[in-house]
Amino acid sequence: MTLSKQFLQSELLRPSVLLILGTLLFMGVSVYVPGFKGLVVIVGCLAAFVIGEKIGFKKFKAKLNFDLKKVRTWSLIVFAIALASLYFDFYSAGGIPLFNTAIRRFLNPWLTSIAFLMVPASALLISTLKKNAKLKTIALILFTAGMMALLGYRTEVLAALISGGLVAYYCEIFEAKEALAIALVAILAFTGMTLMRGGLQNYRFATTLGAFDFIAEETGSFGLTHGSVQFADVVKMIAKEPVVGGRHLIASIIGGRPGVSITSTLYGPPFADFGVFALIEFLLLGLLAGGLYKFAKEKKGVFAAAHAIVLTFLLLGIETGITDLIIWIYFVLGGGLLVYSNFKK
Amino acid sequence: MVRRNFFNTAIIVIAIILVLLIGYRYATTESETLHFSGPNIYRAVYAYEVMHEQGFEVNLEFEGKWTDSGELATGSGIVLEAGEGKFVIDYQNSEISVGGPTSGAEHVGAATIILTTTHASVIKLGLEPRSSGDLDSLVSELNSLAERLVTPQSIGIAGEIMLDSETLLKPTIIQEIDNILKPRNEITFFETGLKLSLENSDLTELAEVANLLKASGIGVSKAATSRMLLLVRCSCTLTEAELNEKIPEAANVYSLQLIKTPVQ
Repeated sequence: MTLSKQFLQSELLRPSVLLILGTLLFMGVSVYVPGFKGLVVIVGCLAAFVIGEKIGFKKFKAKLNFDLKKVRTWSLIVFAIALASLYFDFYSAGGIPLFNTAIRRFLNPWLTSIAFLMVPASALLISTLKKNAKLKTIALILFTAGMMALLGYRTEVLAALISGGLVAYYCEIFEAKEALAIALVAILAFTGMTLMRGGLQNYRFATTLGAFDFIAEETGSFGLTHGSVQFADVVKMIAKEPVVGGRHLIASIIGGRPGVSITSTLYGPPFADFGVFALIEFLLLGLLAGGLYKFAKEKKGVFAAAHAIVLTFLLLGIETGITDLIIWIYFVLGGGLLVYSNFKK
Repeated sequence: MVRRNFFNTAIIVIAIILVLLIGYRYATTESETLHFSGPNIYRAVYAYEVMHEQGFEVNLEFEGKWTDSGELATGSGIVLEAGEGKFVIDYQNSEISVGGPTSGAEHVGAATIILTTTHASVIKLGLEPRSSGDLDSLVSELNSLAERLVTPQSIGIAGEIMLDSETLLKPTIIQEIDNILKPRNEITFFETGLKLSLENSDLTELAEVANLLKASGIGVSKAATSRMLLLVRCSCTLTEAELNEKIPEAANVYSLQLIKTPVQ
């Protein structure tokens, strides 16, 4: 059997497999390993995710069909709006953050969030391309990643590469070896950007795991912040008082200085917010990822794009955690698509 | 049913290797020791706070780089203050700050941090309020009480001391006393008196304050205290019962605790 066929029949792209491998890899390369309670939290969350994924894979059925022309038009519109936002963001900030990191603090959060929409728009655009549009796909992935790189955020560059590669693979534009090549480029880009930021001795992972471990130990069984870490951006929109950002709150819980933000892995924010009830959150995430994985395999197209976006941000969240409003919006839209498509008559 | 193929086998092999690697790291984990990697500075600060709360004086050994030059930095010093992801230590007679490995604001970006106590145990004595003719006599009384029990390495003190002055005080005395005391201690100024609110002081500092008052021509007519904690740091082999026997009744001690483990 060829490697491509073996890849197709393997479990490598199953969300739970990628999440487990990603978590193990993250912990393996870090110089710090969480204590017993921290490990129990991680294993529990992964187990809940696996259960959710199994249910999602079994129970959901894709009954919705999309008009690819409409999808392409709307994705192009969103892509153009995102590109324009990026331009105005740089214009108002006075420069490009990639070339001058100090510019990043002058970026407009709203314009930046809209610019981030280039990633899902690109994934949707790829899902509408024909199977032989390899060059167009590669150009689109690299253009999106390049634009995101100008912002100086690693996460969005990786999101553009990984989600683009995944959609192209599910839509049969890329073969297994090409999808793997994109994955390799993503890993190299990630390593390169990490090294550029922190030098050869990089302590970012260890700091993140240390923060998670501290959270796991110090947070009670039923959570401490009750939503203020993960949904700080939502609270910010409705609260009259100033609201501390999710990662800033994590920093303040573990004793960081004011104004510093700290990531605490995918497992830190849910546990800080809800304690053991974080398991329900992972069950739901598993349900979403499992359902969309099944849809992506069976129906491809828009479902592949939705699955790629959800899976990509879930995997990137292993380090950063999921605390940004835009990512929750992707997840809610993915969930909506899953439910609507399942119950549509 | 999972099919057997190259990729599925690779997933399992990689997962096993990573689990073994993490297992090895877990077996040699730092969470049960007082050796911390730099990124784990928040836990180190937390551990220090626990040790400090117990009354221990803590020495910090660091390895990392000087943030200004990027050169290798190794050394150690007694911790004066800790919080917000950094330590302030007494390093070769000057104060320096030690932060995490990516720190730019501190003097040292530490890759490893080792906390050790400078003594084996702490005897925590709870003292009833007392008064004395002057600050010197109070310091001597507390010193002799501690020396009656063991040979102390240092004697910490926490509580409030009110001093009546025979003369009118000038505000500069606050600054001069503040220069002597370690952080976390406060002074309240009255025209004819001072209140020292001590959280993190020792008898040597109090003796210095007494000398300063004398040198400034400020006579103290009375010193009165709140309930206080005397932290006798020593390498003590006695038990709590044996220590209790050594305490004279006149010492007015309301509690005694012997602490041998810095982080419980």
